[in-house]
Amino acid sequence: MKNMAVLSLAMRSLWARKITAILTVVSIAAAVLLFVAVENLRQGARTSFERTISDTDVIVGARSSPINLVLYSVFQIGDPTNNVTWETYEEIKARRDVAWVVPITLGDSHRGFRVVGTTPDYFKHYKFADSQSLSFREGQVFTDLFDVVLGAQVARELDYELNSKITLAHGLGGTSFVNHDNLPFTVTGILSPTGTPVDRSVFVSLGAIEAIHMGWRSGTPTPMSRLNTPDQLREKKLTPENVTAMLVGATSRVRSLGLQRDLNTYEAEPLQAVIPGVALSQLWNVMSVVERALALVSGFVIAVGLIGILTSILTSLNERRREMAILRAMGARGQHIIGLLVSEAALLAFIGSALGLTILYGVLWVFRPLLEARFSISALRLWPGQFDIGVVIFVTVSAAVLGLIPALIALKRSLSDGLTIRV
Amino acid sequence: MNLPYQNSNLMSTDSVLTLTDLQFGYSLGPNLIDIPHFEIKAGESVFLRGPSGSGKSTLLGLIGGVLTPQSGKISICGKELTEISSGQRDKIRADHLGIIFQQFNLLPYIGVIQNCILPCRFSASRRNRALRSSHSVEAEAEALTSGLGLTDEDLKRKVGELSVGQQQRVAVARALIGGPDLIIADEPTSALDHDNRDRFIELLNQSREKFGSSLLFVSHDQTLASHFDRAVSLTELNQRVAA
Ligand SMILES: Nc1ncnc2c1ncn2[C@@H]1O[C@H](COP(=O)(O)OP(=O)(O)OP(=O)(O)O)[C@@H](O)[C@H]1O
Ligand SMILES: [Mg+2]
Repeated sequence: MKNMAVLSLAMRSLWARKITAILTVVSIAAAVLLFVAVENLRQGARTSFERTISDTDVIVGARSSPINLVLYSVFQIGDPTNNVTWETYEEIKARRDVAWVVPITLGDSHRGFRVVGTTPDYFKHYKFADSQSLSFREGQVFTDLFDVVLGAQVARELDYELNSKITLAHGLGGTSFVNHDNLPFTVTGILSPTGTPVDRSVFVSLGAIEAIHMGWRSGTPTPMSRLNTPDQLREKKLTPENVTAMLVGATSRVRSLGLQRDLNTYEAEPLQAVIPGVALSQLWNVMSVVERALALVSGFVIAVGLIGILTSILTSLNERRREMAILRAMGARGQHIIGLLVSEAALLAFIGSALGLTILYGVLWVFRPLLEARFSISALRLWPGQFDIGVVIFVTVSAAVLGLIPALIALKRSLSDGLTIRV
Repeated sequence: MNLPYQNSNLMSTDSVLTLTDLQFGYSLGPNLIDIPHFEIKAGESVFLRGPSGSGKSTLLGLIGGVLTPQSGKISICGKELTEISSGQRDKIRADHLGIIFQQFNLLPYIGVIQNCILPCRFSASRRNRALRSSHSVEAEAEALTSGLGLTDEDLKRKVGELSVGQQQRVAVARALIGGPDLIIADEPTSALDHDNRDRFIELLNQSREKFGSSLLFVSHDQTLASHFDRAVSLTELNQRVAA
C-alpha cells in the first residue's frame, strides 16, 4: 500500500509538471523510435538481401573478385570485367554434374534500368527467398526476337503496360548517347514484384542482344548497323559469341563444391565460380560496417534521451525540495523519497519508449498495404517483437538506475534539511 | 466529532517526549543544542520560544527523528529514537507525530482532502485510528477540516487558491488526523495577521484537546505564550551552550 501511495504521488507530481514531462517523454519516444526503426530496417535489409537469390548453386563469370561477380550478375551493380565464351557455356552445360545453366549478357540499359539478355530458362530457374519462382503479373516470357519482359519496378516507374514500345540504349548508364532506337521492342510480360534486383531489370533474349549489336565494332555502331530491318534480323540465326555470366544448377547440392573447384581451375579460359550463399555473406560483412555505425548512432540517441530524463529530474529537484520535506514530515521514509524519484524516471522512460513503439508500428501498419505492394512480401517486421520489448525494458531499467542519482541527492538533502521547509 | 478517538491512551502523567543530555551540532560547527532535560507530558501544550537562529527548527528535526544527535536520548512515547534505525524512526514520526510548518504546508499537486490524509498513507496505525471514528479516511479529513471552519467549497479548491490561513488550518487537520500523541508546530502563525493568529491557536488547541494530543508550539513571538499550559525558552534549556 505504501508503495502504491508513492507511485500515485509520483504520477500526480509528474502531471503537475506536465509540459516538461511530455517533452521528456517525446524525446524518449523519438529516440526509441529511431533505434527500433534502424534495427528493423537493418534486419529487413539483411533478410531481403539474403532472399535475393536461392537454388542457384554456382555463379560463373570471367575471372575477377567473387564479390564483384555477385554484384554485377545478381545485384546489377558495377561493371563486368570480361566475358565468357559461348564454347565454355556449352561445355559447362554438357557436364554431368550440371543440371541447368542460365546465361546472362549485360551491357545495355533502358532509361537507367539494366538490360539482361538471357534465355527463357531464366524465369524457370531463377529463384529467390525460399525457393520462390518468378511469376508474371501480366503477359508471358519473350518469344519473338523483339519481345521484352519488364521487372515490376521498371513497369511501375516508367508507366509501361503490355505492348508498350521501348528502345534500348548502349552502355549501363542512364545517359547513354548511343542508342538502339532503330530497333524498338514490345513489352510482352511484366513480372510480379519480388523485392530483389529482378524488379529493376529489363529482360530480352540473347538473340536480341546480338541483333541490336549487328554491325557494331568495339562498342560503337558502324554504318552497317542500320542495314538490317527487324524482319531480316528475325530470319538470321543469331548465336552469341560471348555471355557475361552464368547461373548454374548442380545435379545435387553436394556436387556444387566440386563443380566450383573445377570451374575455378578451368583450363580453356580463366573463370570465376562462386557459391552465392558464401559470397552473399562476405558481401554482407562489408556492409555491416555501415550497419554497425547506424546502430551505434541510434544507440547514442537513446543515451541522449536518458540523459534528458536525468536532467529534467535534476532540475526539478530544487523546486521540489518542499515536496520532499513535506513527505518526510508526513512519515515518508528514505526509501519512499528514492522510490518517488526512481519511479518517476522509470515512468517517463516506460511511457516514452512505449509511445515510440506505438508510433513506429502504427505508421508501419497504416502503410502496410503500400509496403507490400512495393516489396511483395515485406521484409520489415510489422509487429513489435522480442527485441522491441527488450528495448523498452532496457530503457526503463536504465532510467530507473539513472534516477538513483537525483534520488540520492534528494535523500541527502532531506536529511540535512531536517523538518524545515527551505525554498 | 463529539467524542473523537483518543491517541495511544497515555495517562496524563506519562511523558510523550523526553530529552536527556541531548547534544547536537551541525557538522564541524559548535554544539547548537545541549539540553540536560526536557519533558512534555501527555495532553500538555508547551510554548517553546527562542530568538531566530537559536536552533528551534533544529530541535524539531531531532525530535522528528530526521536529524541524529551526537549524544543523549530522545524518547517519544517511551521509544528511544537513538537506539533504533532511521527507518524505524521514520515509522515513529509517522505514527506519533503531527507536524505543522510555518507555511507552504501542502503539496500543490493533490487536493485538500488528499493532503489531509497523507499521514494515513504512511502510517497504518493512524489510518486505523482515523477509521475508528469515520467510515473512510477521506470522511475523517472532511470532518476535521469542517471542524476547523473550512467550507465544502474550500475543500474543492486547488491548494494554491486557499488563503494562507486556510492552508494553515488544512495543515492542522492533517497533523491531527489519526490522533498523533504529539503535535509539533514550527512558527505556524508567522504568516498570519494578529486576529487570525489568535483564532488559529485557539482552534488548534481546541481540536488537539479533543484528541488528547500534546502540543509543542515553537515561535519567537513571546506574546503568544499565554495560550499554552507552559512556556519555556530554548536559550534557558540550552544553558550550557549559552555559557
Ligand atoms: N542544514 C544545516 N546545516 C548547517 N547549519 C544549519 C543547517 N540548518 C540550520 N543551520 C544553522 O543552525 C542554526 C540554527 O538554525 P535553526 O533553523 O534551527 O534556527 P531557528 O531557531 O529555527 O531560527 P528561526 O527562528 O529563524 O527559524 C542557524 O545558525 C543555522 O544557520
Ligand atoms: Mg526555524
